[in-house]
Amino acid sequence: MIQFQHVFKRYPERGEALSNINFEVETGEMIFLTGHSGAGKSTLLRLIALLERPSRGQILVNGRNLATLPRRQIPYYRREVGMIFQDHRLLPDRSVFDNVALPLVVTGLGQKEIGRRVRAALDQVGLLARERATPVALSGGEQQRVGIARAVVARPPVLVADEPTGNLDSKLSREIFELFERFHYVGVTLLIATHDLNLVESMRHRTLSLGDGRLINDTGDW
Amino acid sequence: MARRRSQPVVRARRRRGPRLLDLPGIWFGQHLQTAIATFGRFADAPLPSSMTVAVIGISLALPAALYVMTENLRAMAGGWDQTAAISLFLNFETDDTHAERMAVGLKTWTEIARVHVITRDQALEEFRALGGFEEALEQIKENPLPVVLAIYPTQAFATPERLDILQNKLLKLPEADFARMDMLWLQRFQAILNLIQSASLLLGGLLGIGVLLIVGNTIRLEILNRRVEIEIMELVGATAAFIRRPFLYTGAWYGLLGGIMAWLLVSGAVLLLRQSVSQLAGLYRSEFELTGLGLSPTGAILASSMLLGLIGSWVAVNRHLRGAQPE
Repeated sequence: MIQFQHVFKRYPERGEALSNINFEVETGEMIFLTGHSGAGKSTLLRLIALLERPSRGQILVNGRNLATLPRRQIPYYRREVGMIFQDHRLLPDRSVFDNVALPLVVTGLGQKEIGRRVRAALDQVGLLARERATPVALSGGEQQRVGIARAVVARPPVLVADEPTGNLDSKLSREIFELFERFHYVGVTLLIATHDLNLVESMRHRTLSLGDGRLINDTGDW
Repeated sequence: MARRRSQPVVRARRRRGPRLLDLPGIWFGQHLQTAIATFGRFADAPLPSSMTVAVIGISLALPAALYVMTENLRAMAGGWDQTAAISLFLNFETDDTHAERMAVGLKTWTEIARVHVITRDQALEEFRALGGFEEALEQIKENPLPVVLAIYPTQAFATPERLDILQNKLLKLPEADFARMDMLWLQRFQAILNLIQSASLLLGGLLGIGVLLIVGNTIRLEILNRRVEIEIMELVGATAAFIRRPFLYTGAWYGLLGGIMAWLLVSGAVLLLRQSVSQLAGLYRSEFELTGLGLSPTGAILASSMLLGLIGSWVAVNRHLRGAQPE
């Protein structure tokens, strides 16, 4: 599903963020990406989301070579990759419903179908009752769950999450991770960057470790 | 048999997202939705948007008002088309019958196509009809007006220089008192009208560019205000066209509302002035009435203002929204 081949990313001002990254993720795998801050976790996820392009090397996602993907195709590619951020990236002036509906609205889906799917996604994250609230009125954990609902509402085959529990306590973090596991069980490919090593170890999924932009450990399948 | 074979095909199609046949519907639906939603934004922020609309409206009202003015002046001048080139006023010793004989003689001149005699009585009637002089005329027992020969030149002699020569020639006649070149005056008036109309076109062009800049700047600010929203929409897979669409519609709405505002301003002014213009025309015994913007000028104003808004926003959108672009 995801394939990195000799991927390098170099920033003019920061130097090499990733060097010679090689790995492969099978469809339906749930993978943790760990490493100290600045190790290149976010950069790696940003490359998958095509927010950035690698300096060298090739990335293949869902059968597409990101290096040769024309610019016009980028929006359609992004619809296949759900993204979750540490800071949620929600629109503060829109309701929970509108926030979650956004990935469907951009595809031109009918109102009825949008309503049905948004409520299904909100139900999955346990926020069906809060659809009319604005994100500001929600707790941090709830906001993150809205972010997750938005990422899964269009049912993308791949989910990437960048420090999704960075601002949450351990109990809420565990709840979020258990939510991810449920998507894993229905066949979604997940790549989750986190530095919550206790949780990672307790959940027993394949873990990639980055250090100074290099892949220093791959636990392989459990 | 045929029916059975076709069934699986239909089913397979249903499973994939939107069918090709639905696409025009989706496209139309999205546009309609955007059109309504962007119009709804005006209601959400009535003050700032109405300021922009007012600026556009006033900018467009100026050339439109000039257009209305020149059209009215032209209509007014239209009644004078039958004016003679030269009115030759004869001295008081010349009576109507002598004038008639003169006219026959003058008609043989190569310069002259037609001569019309205005007798002293006719002149008095005309003078009465012009209005404002009834009382003065009643005071006078005798007709104070001379016989006038209205002289219409042939096409070849209807130029200012040649009319000048003809006038001098006519003044040398013993019966002539003085002459007035009416046609020349009319020609000058029409030239001035043409000048004003050209100037108003020029002004319209300049103010049109102003409208482009106003809409462009307003849209630019809106794009900046909604940077975060745009970023998130790009993140979840919105195409560049989808993100641009509402801004283009907003620009078109600004233009159209500005055009309606301009129309209201001009029509309001015409309505306010109509009464006093009619009064003034009445004093001159004229039926003249101020006319406002007709159907096709109104259509032209609304269409061009909407187009200006669309182009203005298009320029801003092209400069500031380039779509998802990985670094």
